[in-house]
Amino acid sequence: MASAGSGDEKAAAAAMITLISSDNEKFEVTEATATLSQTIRHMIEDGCTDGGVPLPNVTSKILARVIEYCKKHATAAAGEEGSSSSFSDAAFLEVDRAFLEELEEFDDAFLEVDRATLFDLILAANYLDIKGLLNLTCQKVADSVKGKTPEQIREMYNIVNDLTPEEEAEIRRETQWAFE
Amino acid sequence: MEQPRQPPELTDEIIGEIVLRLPPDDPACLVRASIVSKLWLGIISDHTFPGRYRKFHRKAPMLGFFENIYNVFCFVHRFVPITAASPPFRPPECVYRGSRILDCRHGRVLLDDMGSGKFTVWDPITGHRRDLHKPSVPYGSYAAVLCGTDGCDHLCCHGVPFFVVFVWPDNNVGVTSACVYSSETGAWGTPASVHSGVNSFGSFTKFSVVIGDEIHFATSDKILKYDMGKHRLYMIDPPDYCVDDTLLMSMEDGSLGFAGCRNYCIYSWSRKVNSDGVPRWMQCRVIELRKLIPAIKSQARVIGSAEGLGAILVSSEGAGTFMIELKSGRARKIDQLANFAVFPFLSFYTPDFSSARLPFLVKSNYSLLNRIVW
Repeated sequence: MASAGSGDEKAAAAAMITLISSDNEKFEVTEATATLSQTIRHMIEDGCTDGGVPLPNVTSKILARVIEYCKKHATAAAGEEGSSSSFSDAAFLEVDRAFLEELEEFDDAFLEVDRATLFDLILAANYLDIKGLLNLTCQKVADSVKGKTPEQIREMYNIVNDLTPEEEAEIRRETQWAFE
Repeated sequence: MEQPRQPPELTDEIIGEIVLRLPPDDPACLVRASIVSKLWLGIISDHTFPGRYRKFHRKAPMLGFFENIYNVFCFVHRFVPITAASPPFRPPECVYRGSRILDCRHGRVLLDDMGSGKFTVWDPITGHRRDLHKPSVPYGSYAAVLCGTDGCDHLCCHGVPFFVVFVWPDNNVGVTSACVYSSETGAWGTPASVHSGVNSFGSFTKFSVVIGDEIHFATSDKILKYDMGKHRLYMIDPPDYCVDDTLLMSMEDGSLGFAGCRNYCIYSWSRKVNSDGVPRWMQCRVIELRKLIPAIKSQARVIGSAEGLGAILVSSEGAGTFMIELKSGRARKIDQLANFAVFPFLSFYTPDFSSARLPFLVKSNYSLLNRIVW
């Protein structure tokens, strides 16, 4: 069982990890929050977190957001594990649903960022190997691509078209239905 | 005013993750994305991509539905896509008085070629078709088509092998029978029968539902279950209901479902086995249609179910056709109005299995090497 509320300050302190952003800012987080990142989980397992974990690819601005995500989702995960059988099935489902709804609202609000920040978050999620965050952010980009023409996608994401006009024309001709 | 910062460049791996998440029920997205740049094209044309894409999405999406249209002279059918841009499907030509769709499952369509005594099993994605002779039985038969591969996940099963399960009543003796055609043997098996009393199929609003090894058919007042493994037939009572336009369906949890509409409400039941081991109908949540879709002003009808998605199709004159997920109660409008009973078509439309061919695609090393198929 989680030891939340036990008041064992020593145990709590021992479970804190320091993350250091590329611009040298330090963030103290619980182990439960940090281990949503598989990269950090492996470092903890290997005992390489003394003196803090340097994250040279993540700025303090982005790291703060990533930690915000991990804190929320670590709490949700702990809540799920900690749900005891004192709830009846129906009550449990109700609590479960409320939890999920709250988490969904959090995720929606979390994604209200500009494109550059969204891409920074994707890169950080990929580097830190946080599956939930990578899924959330990549899905946001995929949703934004839906219904867009290739030209609009290129413009939105600053992508240079390096296909030759002949290549593009041939694909368009053969898959005309997709461009109607 | 500060200029918005340019987004950082994403790696090939991340673009692969994004493309993987493009919606499978709108296949044009993947095609359009493929000509964004050579990198995007290379990712989508990679031979491992379609398999990963299907696995990621886990369930075949509904691309649209087929429906039969009747006129005085012959039967015709049409495909109604749920998205604006849809791949063209070319149905097999029928020879005589038109053909009507009897069933649609696992990416295959079962057509009854009217007057010719033939069934056709057609795969719209690959264009594959197989004709088979229909057993000669009295009026009122029905049939279902299903994949013939044992343990298949149906993410990418096309063409052969398949089974056709044919059921028919003999009301002179009060017996209903079933037999199975296997594409492997190319022949119909021996029939199994059950005492059913006077029975009938053939109503155009009834459907079959496959759950594991069991195929269920709605009859005039009961449910006929055919257990393929045991080659046995059973009659099941439907739930006590007072709804119109009832429909058999498979629920999202894999149980047998039954749904109907009355007074602008959708009622549904799920057949569950209790702790005493006896299967019973349990009523699920009631969906109030007018709360969900305020545009519904006239009586709504349940016209089809998307097997495995736990969704039903509801149509109401003036408001349109809607796909409603029973569990979440979410509704999605489908642009075109369905006339009558519909057969949802669920399949992936990925570059490896398609009816149209793309001339070439490039690998991520940017050399024009490979041809792939849409």
